Amino acid sequence: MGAFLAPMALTAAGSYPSNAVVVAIGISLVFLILVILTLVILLQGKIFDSLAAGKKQKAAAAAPAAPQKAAPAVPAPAPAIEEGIPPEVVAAIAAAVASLEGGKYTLRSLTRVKDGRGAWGLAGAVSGTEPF
Amino acid sequence: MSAFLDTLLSIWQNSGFMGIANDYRYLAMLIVGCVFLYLAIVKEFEPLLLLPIAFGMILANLPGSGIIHMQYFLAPAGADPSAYPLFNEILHHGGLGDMLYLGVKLGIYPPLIFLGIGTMTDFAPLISNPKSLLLGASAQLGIFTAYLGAKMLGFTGPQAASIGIIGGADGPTAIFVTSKLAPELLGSIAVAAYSYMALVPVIQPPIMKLLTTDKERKVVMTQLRTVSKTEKIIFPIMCTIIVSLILPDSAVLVGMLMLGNLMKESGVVERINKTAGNELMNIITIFLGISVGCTTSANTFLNWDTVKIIAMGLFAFACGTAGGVLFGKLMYVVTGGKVNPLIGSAGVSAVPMAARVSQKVGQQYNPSNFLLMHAMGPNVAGVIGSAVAAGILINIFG
Repeated sequence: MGAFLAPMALTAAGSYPSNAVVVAIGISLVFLILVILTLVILLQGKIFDSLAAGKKQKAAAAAPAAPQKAAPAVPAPAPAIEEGIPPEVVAAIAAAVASLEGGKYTLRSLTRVKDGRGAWGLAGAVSGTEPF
Repeated sequence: MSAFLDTLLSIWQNSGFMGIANDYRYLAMLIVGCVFLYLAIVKEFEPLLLLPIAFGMILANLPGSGIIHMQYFLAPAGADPSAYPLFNEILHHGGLGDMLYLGVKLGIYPPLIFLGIGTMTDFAPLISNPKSLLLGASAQLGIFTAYLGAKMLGFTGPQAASIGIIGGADGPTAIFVTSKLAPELLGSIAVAAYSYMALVPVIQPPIMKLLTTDKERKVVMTQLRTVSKTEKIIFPIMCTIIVSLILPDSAVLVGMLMLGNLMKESGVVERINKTAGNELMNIITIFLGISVGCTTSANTFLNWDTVKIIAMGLFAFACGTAGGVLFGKLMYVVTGGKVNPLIGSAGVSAVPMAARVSQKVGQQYNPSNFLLMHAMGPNVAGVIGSAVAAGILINIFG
């Protein structure tokens, strides 16, 4: 396409095409090339998504016993939450626990640390005493 | 005694002070160089490039320093332009500036900078949301509107094309196109391009706010799809082949960008990937900065053309931002409100500054909104878009 632009450039008045031609060719070519890229990437994404879906199905078919093993863990008892801990904090901690090792663990109970130093205080004490 | 005085007088007459006394414009250029140094050091305007450019400007305008001989590169009126640059003269009588400038003149530095940029670019946001390529294309509108503006101000076609490319918000691309089409304007265009890139956070927000409604600015976009490593590896290869087959003039810029990216994504050439993104890029940045600075002489820099170029550069940036935001609005309507038009402004490239601006403006209206990764898509698409636009302009005017 680039090759046939050059003769076009020479046909207009003088040695360069008119302003309208430059702008029209410029904008439409930029869009054309990027639209082609968009379509190709979309297609590639579709192919990869379907490949990934196929793999998942295969894995699910190959190991039907796995979900059964995991099943007893699902109806875990409702965690015992201490009074005064906001539900957002509970949700965040439960999510963090669940994300460990791909969902092996669940939150059973949640209590505040009652005594001793706070986390920062403890860290300070550790760093202060560690050299000895 | 008289021989002593004669020698002293001769040294005085050959000194730079006499040069400045004969032509006050040298002094003006030294002051301009110092102003740019101030902008680079105190205001931190793209200091990595503006500092060597400004210092190169000072070096080239010290009378008699002879650091660069632009007469070897630029054909005077009436001379045969095909005979230039005068390689024989450059090799026999050239100095440091001449040798370094050859890298600009022959179009070597900008693609090497693109190689380094490629090693630092993550195309994942673009691959996971390919529609952002369209935003990157629409933000190139600034290039062509500024081209029209420059033509109206009396510039020739190649000069107007070089001025327009400032709107691509991509320094190496602007230098690449200008060195091929209008080398006489290189200093002014490079300075305008890098200054405006530094001013993106000032130029863009008012335009973004003007063109969008409160509701549009608050749109929260859905999470991006995760992209596999294979897709990230295929993308640079495919992009290079497709773009270069359609537009061979863009091959060198796009190809180097994608080579750098492939080096990063493949993960098998960590050593050269590190060199291309760090040492090589830093070396080229120094060479590019000094040699571009050296091209600024009073004749080519201190005139109305520079003022016009700076005005047109601002116009180009504004139009590019507007083009991206307006296309973003179109996508907002078409997708039923799923696209936040603020990410459109990032399509002007200026990576990653423009994406950060989208994020910042979006967060002003909805503090829990994170547009950064969504804006990175159009942002890196803008780099591809401006390299494509550069190829088109070189094809037409080269």
